[in-house]
Amino acid sequence: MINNPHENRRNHFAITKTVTTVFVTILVLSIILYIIKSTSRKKIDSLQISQYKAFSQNSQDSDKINEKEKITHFSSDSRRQKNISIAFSQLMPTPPVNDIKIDQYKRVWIATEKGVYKIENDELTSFTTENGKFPFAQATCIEFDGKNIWVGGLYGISVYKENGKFVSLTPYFALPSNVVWDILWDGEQLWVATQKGVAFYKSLKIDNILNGVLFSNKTEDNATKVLNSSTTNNGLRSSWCTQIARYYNWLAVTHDNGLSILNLGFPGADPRSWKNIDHAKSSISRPIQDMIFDGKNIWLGTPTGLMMINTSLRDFDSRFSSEMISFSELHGLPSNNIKSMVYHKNTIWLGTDRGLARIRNNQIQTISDLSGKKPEIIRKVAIQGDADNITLLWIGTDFGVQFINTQMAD
Amino acid sequence: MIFGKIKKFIRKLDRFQLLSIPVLLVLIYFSFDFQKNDINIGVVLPLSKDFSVRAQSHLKGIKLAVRHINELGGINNCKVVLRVKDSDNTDLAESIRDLIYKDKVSLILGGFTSKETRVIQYISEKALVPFITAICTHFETAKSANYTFRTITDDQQQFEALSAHSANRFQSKMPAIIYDSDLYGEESAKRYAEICSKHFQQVAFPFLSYKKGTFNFREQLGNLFKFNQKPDSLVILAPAGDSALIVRQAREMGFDKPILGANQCASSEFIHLAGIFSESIVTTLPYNPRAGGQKFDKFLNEFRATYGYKADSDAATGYEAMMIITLAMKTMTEKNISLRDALASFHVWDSIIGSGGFDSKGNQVRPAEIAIIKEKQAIPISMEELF
Repeated sequence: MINNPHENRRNHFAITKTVTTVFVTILVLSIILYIIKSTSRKKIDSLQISQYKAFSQNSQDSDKINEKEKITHFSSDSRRQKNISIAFSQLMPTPPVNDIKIDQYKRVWIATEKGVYKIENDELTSFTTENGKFPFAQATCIEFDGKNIWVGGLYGISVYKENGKFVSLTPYFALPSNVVWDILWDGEQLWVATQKGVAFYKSLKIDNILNGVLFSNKTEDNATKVLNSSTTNNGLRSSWCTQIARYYNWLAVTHDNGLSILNLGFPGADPRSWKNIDHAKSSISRPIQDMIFDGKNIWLGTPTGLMMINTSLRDFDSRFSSEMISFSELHGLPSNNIKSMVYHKNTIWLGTDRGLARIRNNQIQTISDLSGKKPEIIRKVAIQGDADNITLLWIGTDFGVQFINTQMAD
Repeated sequence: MIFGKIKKFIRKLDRFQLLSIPVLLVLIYFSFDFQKNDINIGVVLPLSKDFSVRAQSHLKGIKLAVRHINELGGINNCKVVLRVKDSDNTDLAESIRDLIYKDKVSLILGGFTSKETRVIQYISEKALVPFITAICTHFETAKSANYTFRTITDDQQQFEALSAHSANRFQSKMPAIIYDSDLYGEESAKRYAEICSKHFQQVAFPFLSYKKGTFNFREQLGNLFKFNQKPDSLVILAPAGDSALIVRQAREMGFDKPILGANQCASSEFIHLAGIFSESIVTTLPYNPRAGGQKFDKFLNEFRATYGYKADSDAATGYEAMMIITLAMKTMTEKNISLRDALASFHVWDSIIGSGGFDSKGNQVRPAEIAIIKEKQAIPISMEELF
């Protein structure tokens, strides 16, 4: 048999053609599938909020919240349910959540281990280093000052700009440490809790920073003012500050040694201006993971239980004592490890490493998912009040965010 | 010439063949992993100041383990690379941050003082990166964390063993406690006192404390004789160097009652500095040196051959921790679970220093071993008669 070279070449072309066509088809199909998958996920996520709101509004209970009631003690009222099962929204996947804040435009901002996420008009948007919209690898905390969205993280501080991107302002702030754990806007000043103390900036200075004025520490006026162990003469017991909050005229700072509270009417450099609850001298365990104020007392969330400072805030000046009342699994908490807390309308919502709970009408109730899903480790809880008289409780976990309608638990 | 040939070759190809070239290039690009196949492990230890002797020894144990692992082909054919940070010379929080977010370490190993360990734990827990300490014994570590594990027996177990031993062997009813405010802190002294009450012991009050940098402890030790309480034993919760000074000065001042110390007194640094005064000091060992059998002997020989001196307990615990990490990484791949879950599943293991395991909170379950110092060696009480 004689080989025909022309026929061989034709056969060769045919094989190449087929192989190429298969390759190209697979590639094109993969790209199309990828695009469809990513867009459909966004759609699913976005549909949830509006659908959930409609559903939960219909099923609202008429139970009224007694505004006058205060949480003072825990009763053993067996008539009330101790476990409540309600519908949780579907999880919107994000990296592990560190903080959640809701701004005045009802946008939900989420600080995560891989940047910032925003939920606006039922759309989830990411701001990460990968898409060039966020300057740092990680975000720890978020604060809204009425005009700007501030985000702090382990690499410093950044602000949201109108072009839809966050920009780093770390060099402008001259922070005592670039490791930022919390940011607080108290209406007058921006407080930044860092690994090496609390820095604070007046609104005028903030405006200058936003206008690109780089401050040097050469003059006293320009120097960053910092509260740490040495500048406060050990009034602030540790410089590693993790959380900061302002309750009336008191500035509360959680740190490695416990809790320090400064009366802002007196100089911070005077240790007598500070009230302290030391870890070693009290029953408080480290680290304090969250703190809230219920209008009367300060509550602390720790890995070994929930603590309430027995002295009410109004009596801090006259008869402060570090005596505390503790609550644990024995009292009905799902776990002793309190990760996050929020106070809203006479209710304390607690995120623990074994799910959600609330303290209301002097009773602890665990809140579980109606679907029977095992509770996740909750990293953050935040309240979103809504104009439609719906209050959502946002829950941040290792895998994303979801929410419940708080009225459904009533 | 070559360009001409290429041009000629390309001209021979038809459009389908030309089209297939970029497709093939894309396929080749995605088929190969161009990233380096290294497993990064972060190590954070105080390598240049107060605790450098013990930390360096610990690091040598870790490095020997890594050498053995890589000689045997690494973990799942990936080479293990250590990213070492000296917590004495760098900003600790920023070092840990960079290990996690820049170096992308799979795990962090280290932590010496309780504060250092808390910083590592705080950041790694948030980032969901497992953290193992094989040298920090502070009772708070790994108590309520999900990603923190400890392969060394903690202070709680050591205190229980010391308190029980002093009550049974010495019939001690009133121990006095001296502690440093940096490494152990008041909380550890309080914890020891709580444990004492279980054995019907009443700790002489107040606790004796001192601040870092103290060399003369006579003022604190003077209280042992001043009060009417007359303590019948002394418990030292302090770093190795300070413990040696305290023992020397207490004996020189005429304190002839039993002296007990936590695992810092089992270190070669303490024995060397305390000299003859180290004799008969009761301490705790993180393990029984004979529990590892031949494996431990092999480790000792290898260590001596590599570094030229006998491995101490810090080197052994470093070696063990690195081997546990290796096992966890293999389990992770085999069972397709996370590294954290693989570590959490290790409730029993057998290592060069005997059997051990993590409890439900990631804490070591191996009991503390009581030892007595004889002829400059920490001898487990169970083996005392042999010497």
